Amino acid sequence: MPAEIKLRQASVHDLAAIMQIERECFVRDAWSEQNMLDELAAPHTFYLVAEMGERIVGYAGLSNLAGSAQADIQTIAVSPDSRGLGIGRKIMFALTAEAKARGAREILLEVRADNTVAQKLYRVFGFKQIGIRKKYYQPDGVDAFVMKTELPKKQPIVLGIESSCDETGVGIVRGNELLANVISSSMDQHARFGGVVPEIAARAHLEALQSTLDKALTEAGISLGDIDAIAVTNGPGLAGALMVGIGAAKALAVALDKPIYAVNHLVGHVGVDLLERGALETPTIALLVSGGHTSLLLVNDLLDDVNLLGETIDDAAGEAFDKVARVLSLPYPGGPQIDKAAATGNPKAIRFPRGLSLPKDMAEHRYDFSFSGLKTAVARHVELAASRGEEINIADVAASFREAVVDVLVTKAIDACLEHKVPRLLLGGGVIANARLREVAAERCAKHGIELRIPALSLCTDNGAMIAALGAQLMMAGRAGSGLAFGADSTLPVTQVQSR
Amino acid sequence: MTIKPNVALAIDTSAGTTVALVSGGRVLAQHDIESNMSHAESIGTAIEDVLADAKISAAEVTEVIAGRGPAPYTGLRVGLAAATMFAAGRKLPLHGVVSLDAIALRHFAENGQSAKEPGTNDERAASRHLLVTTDARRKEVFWAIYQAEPFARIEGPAVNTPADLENILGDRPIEITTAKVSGEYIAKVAALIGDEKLDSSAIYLRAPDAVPSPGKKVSG
Amino acid sequence: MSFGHTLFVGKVHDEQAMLQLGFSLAEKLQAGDLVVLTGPLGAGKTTFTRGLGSALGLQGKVTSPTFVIARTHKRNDPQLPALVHVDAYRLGSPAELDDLDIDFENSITVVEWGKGFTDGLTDNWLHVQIDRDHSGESETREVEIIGFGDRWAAQ
Repeated sequence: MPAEIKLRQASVHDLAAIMQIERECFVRDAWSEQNMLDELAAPHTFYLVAEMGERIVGYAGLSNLAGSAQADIQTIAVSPDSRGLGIGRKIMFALTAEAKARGAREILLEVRADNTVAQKLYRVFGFKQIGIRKKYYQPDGVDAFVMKTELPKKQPIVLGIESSCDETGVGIVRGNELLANVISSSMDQHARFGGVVPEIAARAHLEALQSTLDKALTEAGISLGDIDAIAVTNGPGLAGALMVGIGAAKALAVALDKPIYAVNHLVGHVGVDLLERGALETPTIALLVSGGHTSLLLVNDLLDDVNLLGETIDDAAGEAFDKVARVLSLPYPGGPQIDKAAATGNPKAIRFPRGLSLPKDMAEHRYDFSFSGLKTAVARHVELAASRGEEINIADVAASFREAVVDVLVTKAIDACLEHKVPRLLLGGGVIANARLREVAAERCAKHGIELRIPALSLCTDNGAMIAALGAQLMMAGRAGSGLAFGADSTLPVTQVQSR
Repeated sequence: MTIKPNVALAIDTSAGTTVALVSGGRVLAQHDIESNMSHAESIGTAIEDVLADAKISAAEVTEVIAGRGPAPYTGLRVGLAAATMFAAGRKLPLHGVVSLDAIALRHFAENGQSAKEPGTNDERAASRHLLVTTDARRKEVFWAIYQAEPFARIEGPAVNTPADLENILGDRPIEITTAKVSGEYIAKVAALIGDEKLDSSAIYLRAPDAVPSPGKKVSG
Repeated sequence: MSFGHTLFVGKVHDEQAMLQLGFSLAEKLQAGDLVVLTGPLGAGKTTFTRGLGSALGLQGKVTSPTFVIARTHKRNDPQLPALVHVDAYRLGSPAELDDLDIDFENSITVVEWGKGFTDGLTDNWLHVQIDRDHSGESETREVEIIGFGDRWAAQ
């Protein structure tokens, strides 16, 4: 297993190691040893090295004259044998943090026109090309792209309210930084009904508002006066439940005289990755699986270009778990119960149907899901055995059912990645708690060289932090608030990230 | 030392959406949206508009009063959620009023029977009772009975079919009203009642009605 | 005792045909109409509704509302009545359906598993009964569509 990568500030003693990498990376336009020494020693520069164990595997430098609003990335280099380990990204985080800490408002850099790998990395960090320096790199005569990113003066503090289902979520973020994530769930109250009862959920939301808000403010260590904007889920979800959050958010926005952003619940699930990694690498395929949603998305841009590749045409995966759990006389919620029962079961015992996976389905439903046939097959299997007076091996049925669900979810997700040539898969939604799903996803992604992203579970289930994060992204992108006229939309399409 | 004048923001979504700013018994501004299906859409602009009309900033509001119902739940909750969060946002006391009370008070005020009319010597008026009913869906009504002098709720709020209600009423003389709830009267009721207003919880009068459903079979 | 007027009775052989049947019913529907779908698990109620929805020009795809109980689909032309797609599968009583505050008057409402849940809601309604071959040998469904109330008598 590779040693952990650590970054530290460079010193003149690192010169030899740095020069070795310099010459390896920049064969024909490497800096001279004297140049490098001058850079390391200069008062207005900040140089760091990346170490793996004892060995220096990369270095980078930032220049910022005292008091200047502009910072320049002088150089970034990673040893050729240590590429693909995320060192470049780690270095970028450190450099941008240093630039911010020095009070810079923008960062500039130059990159070889033919260095597409580096350009991609910079774009993830918000850099955009602003110019070209012709034949800048000599002796190769290669152009330099000049790229720039702007550092927002202040990261906005956004409070997000989520009430689309049975969890009241209030989250607070500062830009991409998570400050608080408080969830109040009414799940226990729905247990005896085998599923979320909209009326119970909505009553619970109203009752939980005040305390959830208070807890979030305490957790974040901020007061209401610090909030720059409110964000709220306006769909999709349970209409009555959504309306409670909307009424609450609008009133809070007017009370604080701050803008309000009405955002899409599903896109919130995708954007939550920002809170863990600071950046959402796009394009990415996103598989969102919960009690109420099963959707496969192609995300080119979180705010402007989210596409629905496919979704369930009948039950959501989570709902299928609940229904099958009932068929097997297991309590609610179905997911964890089926998992428990499946632990000792054989997933190959019964081959249950994988919905919409036949050749004839590929034309119209390639990325759609259908769990209705699967649920019926399980129910039939159980009823048939019961009518014959046979005993059912619940563990085997549970394991085989779960395998069918996981199989079809992961197969279609991987198919989407390959077909669209997107080597990234993001998982989201409460069903991601299912270990078998994560296991199979990891296996198959590794096999196909697809990067798999699974945010922390507390951020995968419905929560307010993801809503706040999406609101913050919109605000930082300079988007106007939603105004106060929007309503609840139980079927809000994923292409509509913000509503007005 | 200046004492901040009491400025109450009254919100009720038991029927349509009604929002009012009331100070010292005077209505500074009021907005009513009749539709009983658009509370979530209307509530934000309604609050913003009354503040703008009255040229009052959110910071000048000193109290929030919410209509608690009884009413069809989905709409009712929008107003209560808004009232709760406005109060939380400005750290204000949140008070609650039974929505039917506001209808009764309005009826008495507009029909010459003010709640506190000094020197009234009208025994007839004092003994007349007012029945307030609102639609409770499922072919039932929410109802309560009031007297004018002093203003008080005598019976209810409760929910019954019209037939049952007739039995409950029996033969007694009762007046009925076509008045509708209004933010102004939500505020005015709050000014009349004492500690009762400290309760701002929703009045549902019915449990969630959810009954565990038996399983469904594939075959048959 | 109320007699209904039969609008359709026949066999539906596959998913395509079920979609088509739903599609063809849609053109008869207007605001205030109620359609109740009855049939066992997997019979094709949601498929029928998908077909119905595709004829109405909806924003958003029709999917099973079991989880959320009711989904409201606006029309591409927002002036036209919305489709409210309800699944009473998890409801224990009609009162719960009532709690959802559905705007029946101004919408076209389709209720899966709706038998018994819509009594008293309206005087005019359509009942779609879907039966399947329980031996599991054939995918053919038997479908009956009956209209109740004056509105459907003249059809």
